[in-house]
Amino acid sequence: MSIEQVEKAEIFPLNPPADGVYGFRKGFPIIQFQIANQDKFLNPQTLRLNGSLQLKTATGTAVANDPTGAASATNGICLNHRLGVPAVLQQITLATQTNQTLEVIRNYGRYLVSVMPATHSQEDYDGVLTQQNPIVSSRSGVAARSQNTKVDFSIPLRTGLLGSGQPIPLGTNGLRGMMISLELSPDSNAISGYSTFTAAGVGTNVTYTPLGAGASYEISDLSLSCDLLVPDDSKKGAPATGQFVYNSISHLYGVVNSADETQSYNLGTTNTLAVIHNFLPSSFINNYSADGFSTDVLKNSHGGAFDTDANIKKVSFIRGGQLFPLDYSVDVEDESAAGVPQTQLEIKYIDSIKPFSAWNHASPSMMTQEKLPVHIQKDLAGTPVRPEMEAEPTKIFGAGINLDPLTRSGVNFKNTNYAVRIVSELDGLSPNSIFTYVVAKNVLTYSPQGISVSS
Amino acid sequence: MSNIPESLLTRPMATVSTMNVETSVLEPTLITPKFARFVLERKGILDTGSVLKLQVKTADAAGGWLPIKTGIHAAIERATLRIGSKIVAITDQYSHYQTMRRAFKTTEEKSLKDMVKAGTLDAVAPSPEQDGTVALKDALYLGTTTAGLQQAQYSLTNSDTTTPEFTIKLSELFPMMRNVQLPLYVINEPCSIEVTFKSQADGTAGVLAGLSSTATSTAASVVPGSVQFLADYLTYDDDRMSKTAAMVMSKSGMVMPYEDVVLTTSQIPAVAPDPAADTVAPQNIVRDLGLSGMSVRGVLVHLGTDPTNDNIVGQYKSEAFPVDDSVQVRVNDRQIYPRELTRVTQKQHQLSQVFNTDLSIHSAEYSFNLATDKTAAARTITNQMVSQNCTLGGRKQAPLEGSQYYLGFDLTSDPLGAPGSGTTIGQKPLQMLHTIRRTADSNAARQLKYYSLVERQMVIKGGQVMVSA
Repeated sequence: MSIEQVEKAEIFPLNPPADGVYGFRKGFPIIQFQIANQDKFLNPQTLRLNGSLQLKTATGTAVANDPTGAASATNGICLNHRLGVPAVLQQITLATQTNQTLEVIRNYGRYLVSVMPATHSQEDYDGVLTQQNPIVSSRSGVAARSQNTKVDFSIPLRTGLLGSGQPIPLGTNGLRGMMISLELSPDSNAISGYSTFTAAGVGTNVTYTPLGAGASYEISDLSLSCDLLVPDDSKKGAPATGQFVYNSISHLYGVVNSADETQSYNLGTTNTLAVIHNFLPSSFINNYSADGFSTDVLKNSHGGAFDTDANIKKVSFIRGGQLFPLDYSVDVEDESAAGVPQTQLEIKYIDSIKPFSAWNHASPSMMTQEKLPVHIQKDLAGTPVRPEMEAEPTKIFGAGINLDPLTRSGVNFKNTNYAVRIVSELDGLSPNSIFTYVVAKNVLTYSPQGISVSS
Repeated sequence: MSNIPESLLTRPMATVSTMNVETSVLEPTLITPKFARFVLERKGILDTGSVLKLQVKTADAAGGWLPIKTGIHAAIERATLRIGSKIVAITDQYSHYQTMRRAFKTTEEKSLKDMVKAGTLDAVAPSPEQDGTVALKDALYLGTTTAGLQQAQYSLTNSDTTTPEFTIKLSELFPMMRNVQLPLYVINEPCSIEVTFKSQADGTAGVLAGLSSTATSTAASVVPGSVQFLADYLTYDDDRMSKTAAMVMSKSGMVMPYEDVVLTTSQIPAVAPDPAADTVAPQNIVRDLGLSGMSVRGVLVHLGTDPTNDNIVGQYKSEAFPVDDSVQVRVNDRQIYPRELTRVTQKQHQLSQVFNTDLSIHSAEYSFNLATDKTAAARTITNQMVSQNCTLGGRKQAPLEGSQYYLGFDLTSDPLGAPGSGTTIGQKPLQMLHTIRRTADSNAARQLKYYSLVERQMVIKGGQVMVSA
């Protein structure tokens, strides 16, 4: 395709409230954008959701997070530090202008909170990532402080389709326009407190008090900006009939509670590339006093407080009743017992997000996983001298499997089910939610007769 | 680029070939404290990994440090590549340009490689004070949570023998060398590299070095005796070398497209009288960039006040505005944005498209987005994200906040920025339309530097070199 010109486009929501401010509490939780049917291509890598974010206390005043102070009515209100602005997005729906659904990601934040730390290092969190999503940080205290004021952002929407990297035809010979619908997250799920840590890595949660009517967030001045590629006159537009392949991410929800539990899902996808799981105590969902985007290990509850690790002993990935693609179970019982990294499980988890052989920038470290500082600070003394400058010592944990690492063409789960068996120290009295994300290849076919998506 | 032999490109070759690398340590043919000239030997292919080596020393015995985001690049005012009497590439105000260019390197590269090679101190991390601010990560905080020190091995001294040596790659001095290598063996005319140095007079700071407040003299200069050019000459097998030579001797010669930088400078005065407290005075600026007929890939803008009293970022600071400024670009009578850009995160995104890579600095270093009170008309700074207490050699790190505010506009028509995809500017100059919203705290005159990245062509024919405008 020969490109004649690049047009910078900026698109505004179809359904703006009277004051232009969206928020779950304000009763405006849906934002819709329409990219018109036109003989151009969308460069998805340049698509950004622009806006301003403001956190508010229960009484509607500005927050004043101060990690050196104690929790108060204004101190201890923030979005997750590894996620930032996307914490307010509950669901993203991409569709054609004729309402043919292309991709839906529910619980978008829980997906990103697995993907972002696995593909971005502490240096990224304290640098490059803050440019578009300024309230992320490697430490929750820094992220909290950065949310004290109204903050501008320009974030990418990390969906499979928009992450495919290939120009998307928007014309009649293509998607015939595109609809992007964003659903906002409940305040109680998006907002929680932050943590401070001693030199030994012992954390204290700072969440505003009293919880009362609850803190809230507002986003305003929204727009969608992107580059539109104009093909040259001789090759105007795409051919009348064609198809393109893109990845999609879909979400499934379940609860694990017993020490030996098998979760079974009908994925319904033909070219399934990977499955990613992360865990959260079920009572942490929609709960101001707990971080709904933490990525800790499974937890046992005592008196309602999920304060004890329920370590995983063994994970088996199953297709149609048989171990697949590994013909063995990932056994990490000895590592769990010894309190050392569960390397085999962690490698498979990372491999489900990004091929492990290409893994470079990443946040998991001995500091995040085991609270062991690693930054020696070049004083040649051999002892880490400033652990408080390292990434927050909270775990980046999950389970996952890259189903087809060799050919990357995917595995058929259309007529057979996927299951994951988790053997753990769960006590049967502590329901933990398991968030499952399935990455699969889809094919979009367009012709004068219409558009069809096969997965 | 397809016409260029593979051996002259900087990307990996498709086939393995025998290669000989010969390194010559070139002494300058002319050297003064302000200027050096190197004449390259007429042999092989000049590798882009060739480096300029030099030292900087302070007058004060306690020593100092190089401007932390610029490093040894601060020593270079201008770099010129000549072939015969023709100027093939010239990078004016090189240190400002390179400070901007370095912001696109990954933090890991800056922290782990450039600190050693260029004496920079880039990365920030959560402050050791644990108050939610950020501070310089690679400074040493030994037994303290605030008093940072430059590490001894990268600190400047007042002695030729102990002050550290740093290097600058040829591909950094000249953007053209990022993509192509010069076949010196087929060029009849002498090739020379000229470098103009900067110096720092006593009483000023941040041009070449930052010093502690107890320094008795703040002067700093390049050590002339340390300046050498380490030239790597590549030689491949006869077949490959003779194919390149045959191409040069052909009727059409060898055409080498390359990228160059055109600098346009401009001043923006302060508004008079000074805006009253908590009021905003808009200032509309239109600047024409004379680039007619040129193929422009992008424009970078440095908006500094060129201070000579900043010991941390130094003269290379490009300060953000507390109240967001707005920009629009008019190219060939067409405005490239549907509405002017005002939001800093959008401006950053446009800037990152110039090099097809993200700006790798903290948001608090780029703008005051996280720091200002948006309910105040003049956007009072109330929530500083850079530590107000942490220091480097006794100098506060606070000036880092909003110190790397650059603008950038991508004008390529290819999403991947392929060579030849720049926009050809017609008869009308490229126009930059800028609305600055001045406040009492942000009303200093600005020295604007527009670096236009243009596509040029060099033709080597029969050993003679011709260069397009």
